[in-house]
Amino acid sequence: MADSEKTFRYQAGMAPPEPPPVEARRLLCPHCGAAVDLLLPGKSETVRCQKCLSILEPEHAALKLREAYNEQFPHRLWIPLGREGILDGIKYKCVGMVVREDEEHARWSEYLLFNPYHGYRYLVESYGNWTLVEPHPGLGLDAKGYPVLWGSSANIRLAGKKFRYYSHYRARIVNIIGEFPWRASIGETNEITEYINPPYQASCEQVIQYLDREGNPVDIAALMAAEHGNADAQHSDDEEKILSRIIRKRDLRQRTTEIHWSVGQYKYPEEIKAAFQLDELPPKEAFGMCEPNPLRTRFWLSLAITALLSLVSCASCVYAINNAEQATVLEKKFILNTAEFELKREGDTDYLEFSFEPGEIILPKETNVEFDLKSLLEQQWLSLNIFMIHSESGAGYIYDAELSRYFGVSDDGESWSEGSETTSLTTVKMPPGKYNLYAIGATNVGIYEFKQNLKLFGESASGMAQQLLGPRLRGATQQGMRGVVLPQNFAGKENSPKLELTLRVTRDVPILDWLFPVFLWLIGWNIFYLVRYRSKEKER
Amino acid sequence: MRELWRMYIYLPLTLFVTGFCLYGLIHQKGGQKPLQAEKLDIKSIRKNPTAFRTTHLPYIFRGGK
Repeated sequence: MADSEKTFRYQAGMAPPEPPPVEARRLLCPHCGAAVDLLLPGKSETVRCQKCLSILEPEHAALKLREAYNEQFPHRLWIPLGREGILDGIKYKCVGMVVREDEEHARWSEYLLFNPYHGYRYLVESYGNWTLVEPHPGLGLDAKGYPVLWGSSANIRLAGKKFRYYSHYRARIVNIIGEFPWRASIGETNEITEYINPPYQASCEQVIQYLDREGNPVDIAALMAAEHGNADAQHSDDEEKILSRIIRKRDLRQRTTEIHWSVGQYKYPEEIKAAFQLDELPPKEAFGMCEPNPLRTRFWLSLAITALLSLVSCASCVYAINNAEQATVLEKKFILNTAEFELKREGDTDYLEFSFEPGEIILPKETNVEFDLKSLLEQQWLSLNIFMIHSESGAGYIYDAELSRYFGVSDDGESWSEGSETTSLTTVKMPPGKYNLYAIGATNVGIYEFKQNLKLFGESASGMAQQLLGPRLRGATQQGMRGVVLPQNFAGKENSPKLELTLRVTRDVPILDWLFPVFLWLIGWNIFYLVRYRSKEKER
Repeated sequence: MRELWRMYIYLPLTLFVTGFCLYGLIHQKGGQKPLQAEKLDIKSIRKNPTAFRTTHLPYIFRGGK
């Protein structure tokens, strides 16, 4: 929402009725004699003199000194005392400020706001982030007034909202200025448990009293200071350990004397600036505890878009499948006798070369073709060049396919296998027409038997078997000449190993591989936004 | 809507990748590209397949050189 719209909303419809006048009263500080303006006479129990910082108590028409100080207020008041501003349509007056810090010395400011109809609110400023907090005294108590919702390990439901546990720490009041409706004092320590559901937060503030064996309250701060030998050391990093040690040593019991629940809502700095007409605000140094994560929306948007694109992809897939003819135009099983193959050598590898003619196919339109090959192989390989020869133009399109299957047992006794007895290849779109298929293959199926037969029945069999496949074969193949073939009708030819090959040709098939990169991209896209969202959450 | 605009790099990229792939899916783009040869005659090949394998095939695989 633009600032101008906000201003319009505040001014036009939702501005509260004018509150009854609460007249400020000017009194004198009993310590330094300076004038002290009591903004809420009759409501405030603690007032601090802005000149000497003595803590005072209003009593009838005068101020009574509670704690004398003589120093300057060292913290900056971003919202001046007495300044009025409208937040969520309610006009508040800033009447005080509390500076607190946790065990790790992280500090924040709590501005006390007052509206005569709506009571007190806290405007918490922490590292440039603002939260408007409303006390809910009844929350977290059961019908008998006992605490039911507190602790640091659970998520809670409060004021109709779900909150998740955020942190638990001990907060100490470092300084105060202005006036307060309770007996505020510096050094007061409370246990705070915070829950968040951005832009909301819930806080449970507990005042814990420590009792000795007889049930008498003990001054834990004094004990901790004594334990450490230094009053300031009680807020060191070892505070928890010191406290545990004192409790264990003195057998102390803890008693929660007060529980204050409050629910807050994050406010953007621009809203605070406009509401209180401020010229300057503290710089935003961190991501707010209950600040809405802008990447959350982007993550959910990416999920929604992914769902939409997945639907579109599935619909496209169905369309592609339904529109593809997927007609099997050839399906044959070939049993080839390896005795009719030709022995060749490439490098140190002997193999058998063969060719056969699977048949012819017709493509009525420009479309792709899928070849599915299957062969029973055991520690064998098979390589095929499939020729599609256009009967009219004489154009030849050559595709290659390979099959191999090896298996065994490794040294550590585990069985292994690689390769497959089946393979498939899909061509690009081919021009329409009639095609003659021709296949040229190479394999090691039956090569041992081929060589044995060559010994027995080959050209060199008569007295030259010992020179089997000698320089004659190598010389011939290296020169690109014919390899070695067996005689056409030698005895036992029919017993030679057979190469079984099944070929199925399908025309017009959908190429669904396109879906893989789509889904890969979409998953990656979502992971990218999820990681960014989670990284931002960690900045809280 | 403001957050949609802030996804100005990845959203168009996602739409492009998805659109490109779905176009390929619908139009059957892709598939193995063949090695091409000209003036092949199945009848001649049938007559002397060995000669075709030993003479013509290396010539085709060399790219017709």
